[in-house]
Amino acid sequence: MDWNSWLPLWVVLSSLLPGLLIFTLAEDRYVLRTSLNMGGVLLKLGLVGWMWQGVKAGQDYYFELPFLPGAPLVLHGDALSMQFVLLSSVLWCVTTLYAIGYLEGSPLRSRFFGYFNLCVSATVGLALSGNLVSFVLFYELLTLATFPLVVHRGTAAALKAGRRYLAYTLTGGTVLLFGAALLHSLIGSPVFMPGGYLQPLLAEHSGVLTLAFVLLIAGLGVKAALLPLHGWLPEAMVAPAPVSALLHAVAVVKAGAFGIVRVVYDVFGVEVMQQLDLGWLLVVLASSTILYGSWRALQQQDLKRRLAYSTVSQVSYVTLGVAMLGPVAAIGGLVHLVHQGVMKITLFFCAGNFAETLGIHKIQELNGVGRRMPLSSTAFTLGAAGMIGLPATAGMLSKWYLATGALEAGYPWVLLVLLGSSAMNAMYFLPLLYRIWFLPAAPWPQERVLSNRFETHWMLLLPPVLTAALVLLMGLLAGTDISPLSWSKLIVEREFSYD
Amino acid sequence: MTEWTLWLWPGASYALPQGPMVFWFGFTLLLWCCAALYSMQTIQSRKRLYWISFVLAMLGNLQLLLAQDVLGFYLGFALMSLSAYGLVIHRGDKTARQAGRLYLQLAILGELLLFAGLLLRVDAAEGALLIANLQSIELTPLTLTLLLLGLGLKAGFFPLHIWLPLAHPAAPVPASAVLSGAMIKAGLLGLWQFLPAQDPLLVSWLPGLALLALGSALFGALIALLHQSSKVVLAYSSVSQMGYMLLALVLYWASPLELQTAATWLLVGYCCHHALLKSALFLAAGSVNHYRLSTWHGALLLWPLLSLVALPLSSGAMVKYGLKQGVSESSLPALPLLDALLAFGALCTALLALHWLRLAKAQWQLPGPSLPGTASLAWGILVLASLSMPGWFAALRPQWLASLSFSAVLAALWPVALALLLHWGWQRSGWQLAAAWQQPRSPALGWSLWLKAGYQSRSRALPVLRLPAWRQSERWLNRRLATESLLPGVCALLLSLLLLLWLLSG
Amino acid sequence: MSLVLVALALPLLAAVLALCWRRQAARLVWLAALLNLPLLAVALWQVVTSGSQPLLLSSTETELLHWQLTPLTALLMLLVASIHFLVASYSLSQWRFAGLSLYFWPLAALVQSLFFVLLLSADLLFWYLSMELLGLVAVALVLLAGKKAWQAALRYLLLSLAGSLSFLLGVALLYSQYGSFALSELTLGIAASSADPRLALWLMTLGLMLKAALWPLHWWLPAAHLVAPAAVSALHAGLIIKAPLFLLWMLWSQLATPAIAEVGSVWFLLTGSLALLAGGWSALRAPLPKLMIAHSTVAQLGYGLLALGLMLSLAEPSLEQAFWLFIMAHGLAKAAAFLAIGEMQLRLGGKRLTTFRGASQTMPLAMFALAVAGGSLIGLPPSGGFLAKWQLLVPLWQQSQYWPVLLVILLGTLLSAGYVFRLVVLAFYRARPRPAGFKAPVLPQWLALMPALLVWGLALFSLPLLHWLGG
Repeated sequence: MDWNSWLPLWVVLSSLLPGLLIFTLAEDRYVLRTSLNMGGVLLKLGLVGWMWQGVKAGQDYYFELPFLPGAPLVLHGDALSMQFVLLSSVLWCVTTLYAIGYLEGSPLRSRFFGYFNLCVSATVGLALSGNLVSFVLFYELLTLATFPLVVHRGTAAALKAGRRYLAYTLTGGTVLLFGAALLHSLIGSPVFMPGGYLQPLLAEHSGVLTLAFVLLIAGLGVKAALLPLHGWLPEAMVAPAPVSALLHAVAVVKAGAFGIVRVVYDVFGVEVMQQLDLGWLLVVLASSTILYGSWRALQQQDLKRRLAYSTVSQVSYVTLGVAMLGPVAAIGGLVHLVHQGVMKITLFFCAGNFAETLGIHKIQELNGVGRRMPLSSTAFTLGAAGMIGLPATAGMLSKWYLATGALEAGYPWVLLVLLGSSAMNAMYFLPLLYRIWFLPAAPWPQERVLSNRFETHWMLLLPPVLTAALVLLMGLLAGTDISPLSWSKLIVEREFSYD
Repeated sequence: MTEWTLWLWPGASYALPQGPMVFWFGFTLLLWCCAALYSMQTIQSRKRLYWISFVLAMLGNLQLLLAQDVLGFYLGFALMSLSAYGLVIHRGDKTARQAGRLYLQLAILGELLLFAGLLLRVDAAEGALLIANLQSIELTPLTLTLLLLGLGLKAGFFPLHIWLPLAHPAAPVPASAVLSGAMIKAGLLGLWQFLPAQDPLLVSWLPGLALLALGSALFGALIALLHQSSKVVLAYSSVSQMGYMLLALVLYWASPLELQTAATWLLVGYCCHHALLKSALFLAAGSVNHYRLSTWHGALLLWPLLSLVALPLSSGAMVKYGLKQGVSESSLPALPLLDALLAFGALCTALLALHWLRLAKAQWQLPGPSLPGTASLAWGILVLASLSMPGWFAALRPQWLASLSFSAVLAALWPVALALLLHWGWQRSGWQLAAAWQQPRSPALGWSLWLKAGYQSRSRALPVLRLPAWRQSERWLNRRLATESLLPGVCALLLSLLLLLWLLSG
Repeated sequence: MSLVLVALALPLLAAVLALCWRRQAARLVWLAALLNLPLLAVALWQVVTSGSQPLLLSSTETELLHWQLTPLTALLMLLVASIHFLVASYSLSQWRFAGLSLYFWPLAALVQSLFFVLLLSADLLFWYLSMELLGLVAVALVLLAGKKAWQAALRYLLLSLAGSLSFLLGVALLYSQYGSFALSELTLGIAASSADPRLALWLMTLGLMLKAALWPLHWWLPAAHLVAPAAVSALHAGLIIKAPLFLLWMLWSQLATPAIAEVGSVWFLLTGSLALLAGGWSALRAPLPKLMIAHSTVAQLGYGLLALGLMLSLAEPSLEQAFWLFIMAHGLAKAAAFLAIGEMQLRLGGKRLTTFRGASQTMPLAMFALAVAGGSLIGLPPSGGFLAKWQLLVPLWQQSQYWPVLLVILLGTLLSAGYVFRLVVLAFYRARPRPAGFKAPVLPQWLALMPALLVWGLALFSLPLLHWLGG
């Protein structure tokens, strides 16, 4: 075995092993725990960077372990998986820093960081999964690893949210498993390939394929928070801020969206999707989710809850872009996978900072925060601007590609959906910014002094500032080689140029 | 242009301004610099907010002038529009907040319409992102409407002006100067660049647009007469002047190819003329309102006004003459009507100028601090630029010279004379408008409030959850099933018996 | 081959010694269990490499013993020995604290020997004998809990006897019709003769279903589990009730003619589905954790019935694998679950669900064991339960007329997820932490975790496993 085929496994293990070690640590081993955390982070970043370079050059990373008859456990680094791997490892890096600062002095940190690492391992594993069975495996592991994080606070509300989360995601996971088993019974579980592998079955089994598609999308749609299946997401925001950030930006929600990308492009493939006439179904579903999520976000009073509904809406952009089955729309969807992650994580970091430093949870309490916490507020502003899709931010590019893609793919009405959603985004974000920057400050609900030099603890401040800078850079420097946009173009080039 | 633009967003492209655009870029830059100069000592409160908004809006404005691609233009446009919100709301009182809200709502709406319009254009051009590439693509009614609305909301001509008379007076004086002088021109620039001349659809819409332009010119000037605040009057004057500029643009679109260059110069000239004089007037209004001025400031105050009423020798006479000439040479139908409306417009403008002068006089030399030197300098530079414009704007020099002919002078002067007469008569008679007509409230604020109610968050009581009825009986049954009970036993025996019977019989 | 006989004799010897030398009873039985593991591993390796071995103890013409060692029986024996060893290790680590009676040890050793006999023999008479004895031992084990267990034990005893009787009746009928106890001869006889084996088969089925607590004849099981000590529950759910299930499978797969199999298939599918749904629902609503796990046993056995019913009509090899995998995964998972629950109830004091509040802080390992075992019960990848479910699902999808079964499996999975996580969620409650000084010993928790880890390990080892199970 040469080194290249082990690399994907190491990428997964680089957070799994520290995670398992952390479980065994006593609460007061702060230094060791932090060094394990950060060591894992940096090691993973290094490995992923190397792998990214290799994939770009056309190198194939393929790791296989026997698992089920005809369905080995495959870890495979292709362009699409690298998009998600890179996103999750970079955001994990900042979130770890944030979480260390956020949880300072609170109980049960070893348990928290143990599961935190497991969660990221599962995410990365999911991104690297080379076939449907491996995907299902990591999908379920992700559910299990995130659940303790959701209920970490252990309050009655947290447990309620946790139950709800499980009820949704386990059902989704089971349905996904059924779908995977159905496909496996038809054709086995080959490695994901551009253009899909179901072409030979099309003539005979079109009805069954449609059923399989519905099952898979229903299973993935739970995590991707598609319309009737989104109920867990706003509840899950009772979790600690770093968890919300991770859930909403990287781990869970994105796993669902990424799964949809995989299923549409690498299992079914564009041609089969077109011949079965399944794309429009997903487009309609995603569009209604986008509008519904924005509409519900407007009505929320709680800051994190508003952000959560905004996630419901924004993640469906990814599904929308993918479902339209055109290359340009696909670029939009894929790039939004990254953009939404970075923007939303910024917003959740900032919301966490407001809550931690000043005790702000409600929107009415935000008045005048801009003067007390200028850096966090600036970061929040950038994140919100990105969400609205204002130019110069990353969000604008996603929207542009989605909209051009919609026109190209023959869904002109999607343009209206995008505009309506942008308008509603503006309606629920701009009043927040107005309160933050332009209204006089009221007494804060519960102020804590976390730092004498900065507006809050530096570990809480640095992550949102970094990600906010990323929001801007990804929008402005979109033409560089390392930008998500270029990488999405590379993916689309590889996904659409099979035969 | 160069290698580094490849790193930026897709299609990013820059070019240094050339030809008429040099002047456009020049007056924009000059305006921003002068406004900054004026602000330096006059802005005393909320400085951080003001300067951040100011710099961002300026960057946006310059960006949209330099960008050669659709996304770059849109970027600059949005940055400018949204940052200007901070300027509008700077004063922070209720009026400013209301005006700001309306401004922002319409700015976002405009962004969205513009986005849709640009998107459809780019799609029609099969993804080409350079503005130059869009020129050969025919418009559709949808794209034309979207672009006209999206950019027109910024340009602020009737009936898309509703935010303008509220926002411009609310902003601090130097901000109003750039808002009126530079920023609303960006909308016009967009229309000019994105709507290809000679487009069949556009040409067929031109008569309507020309009427709209003149309607805007008359409407702005007439409504201004109803208001008593000098900055509101100036804002309505901007609405009126934007009408003229739209007319210049219509002329450009209507002109045959060989005359296009001339029409371009006229358009740019008019914009340049109005930018300089209107910003000077806003500075004047602000200075008069808040500071004690010395006598020589009177000259600074008067000259832009004379230019506004197009007195001979001024840049106003030059561009107005150009406009008349353009109208008469153009192929637009209903020419006599347009001519008459132009003449009537000149009368209205003159009346507006007198009205404003009366308002300014009422404020003149009221006690207050004296005007800081930097502010005087900025004001002076603008007036000087406006004064010397016939000198350095060489492209319109023939028109300037022609406007000095006897008939032209006469044509320029009689509306002024008539206006003087009317104004004098009005003052003498002491006649007042009915109170209901004075200072009419814009209905737009009501719309804005209504829109706000749509997205304003309301708290609602949560419904009380109760156990559904079936859960009660289920609980009872479950207790019986789970603990000691005969029920399952009976079931099992019955089932087994049934099974046995069936087996034995079959 | 002799290895297997040694493995069979060792626990028997240990049981006798333990009765004589009671001070060392625990260590003796544990040692025997430990020794059995390598023996059986080697036996498995032998039988895998050289094929099935008949085991003839008698050289006379009328063979008394029709024993046989196949890879399947060797594997099951290894499983039995492992579960036995793990439960014994756990009990050894804390039986004094738990107040477990000394008689537990010889009885537990007997369970192992009897199970081996049952697995090795392919002979109705031996089956009856070993099963009868196993039932009596099981009742005795339940009785270890003392006076409070009498009522449940008595009912168990009566029903067990009734079941045995029914089975015996069937055996006698068959012997009268075909003149043999040996399974192989009976198969031939049924194929050749015109006599109707239906009544005998159904009588035996009824008896076995009663003893295996298969729905709808399960109602004695929760009561018995509720009173029994944790180690006994673990042995019972993990091993003892698997014996009749094993017999049920052997009988139906060998003796049923196609016509009978058709009816049997419907019956097992029906009872299996109902077991999954009704058992799952009862577990979901059970007020006590042990009751919940007991009902979960009823539900999980429904998978076995489904696999049996499907096998009778489809004859897919993967269904057979699914059946055995269910047995193995369920045995290990249930052992872990009962041990973990017992340990937590013991240390935290209390029998109600609320005992588990905050258990993830006070007893993280035991809670983890319960959660991991629960994961296999749900069938989360990559656990043994998942493997079994996968093997069941894939052939099912190819037969579209069985969609109701798919639906049942889906619902059953969701129900199991519901009850498992009902417990797990409580463990994360933080409102009432234990007193600061509370510290539970770690070793028993680790030992409770072992079977759970093993059941997840099954998935890593899946390909050879499936091969031995007749892939």
